[in-house]
Amino acid sequence: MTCDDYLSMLETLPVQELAYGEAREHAAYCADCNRVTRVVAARERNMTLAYESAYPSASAVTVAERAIVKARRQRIAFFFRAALGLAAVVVIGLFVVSRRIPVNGPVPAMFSQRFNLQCLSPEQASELLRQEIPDRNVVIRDRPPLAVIEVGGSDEQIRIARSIIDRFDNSGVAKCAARVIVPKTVRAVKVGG
Amino acid sequence: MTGFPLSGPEPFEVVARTRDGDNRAFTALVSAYQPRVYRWALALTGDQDEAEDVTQEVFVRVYRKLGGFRGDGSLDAWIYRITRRLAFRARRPLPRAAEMLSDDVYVTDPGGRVDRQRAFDLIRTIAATLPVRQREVFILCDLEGRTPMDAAGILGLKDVSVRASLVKARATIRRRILATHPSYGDD
Repeated sequence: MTCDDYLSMLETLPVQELAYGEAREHAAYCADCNRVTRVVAARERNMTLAYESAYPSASAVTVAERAIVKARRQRIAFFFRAALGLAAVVVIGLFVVSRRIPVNGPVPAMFSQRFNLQCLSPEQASELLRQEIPDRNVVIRDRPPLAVIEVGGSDEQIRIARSIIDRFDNSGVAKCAARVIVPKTVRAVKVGG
Repeated sequence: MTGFPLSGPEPFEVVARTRDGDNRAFTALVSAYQPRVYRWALALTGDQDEAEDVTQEVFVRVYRKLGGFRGDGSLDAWIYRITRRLAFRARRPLPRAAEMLSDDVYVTDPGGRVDRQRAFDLIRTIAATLPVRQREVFILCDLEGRTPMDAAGILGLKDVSVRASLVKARATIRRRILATHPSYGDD
């Protein structure tokens, strides 16, 4: 066995394993390899001693007591977190459900009625009705050049629309020959005649 | 060096008593494992303070999870895996290996008392010198005296992988030992 062979064994094998066979014979007559082996063995022994002498500063009793207390706190915290999570799920669920149920009760039934105009043009009637019934849900459709206007809305809104049409489109009040001025507001209206 | 380090009750008896709420049994378990867990944590983190914190946290976990320990593996392996998980979570960057394995670490009278600081320096040195897998294998086999098969069981690796890592770790450590030895360098 050469020194290179020996050193390559020394590089990877436990030192104790070099105390047998050819390796032992080589170390017995090669002073250099013998010395190197002793150095490695001594340092590894010291490493083991140093490793075993590493001790924590806290005592086992303290560590155990702290561990028990902390573990219990963590358990309680876990239940709190779980309860909070559950509460959050319930709140979100209620929110989602409430969004799906209409709050204002059932939507009122919608009606539609067509009015034949005698004096007003469809545009004039439409403008008049929009001023008097500002509700966006009311649908007013004029269909020029037909002298017709169609109003869609609740029963009450249709009734108001009818009264307005009767009032301003009544041939007895507003002669068809006369010029109809659509006022800015209905209260300021003066029908020519 | 494998098995439960307590000389008194059997490990599973201690585990069973701890599960039943016997705090003295848990203290006995901590006494038996604390130094070992601390050294593992120190080797894995390379930092004394973190090793103390990790050790404390390991026993918190052990106390909480002991009910889930099935006992089909060794308690050593179970606790080691907890230590490793927590150590890697806490780990800060290790110091550079520049001044590692200097003579100072090893100039120790074998018959005398090895002081704590040198022990810390040594473990930090190993932590900074070897990659994680090799470090774990080196510590379990060469410093704690376990067989590669035991180490494989603890680390959840194949025996052959442990042996390969051990060869690499030894080669690295010994090359450094020899490189820093003055008389060897003169030859």
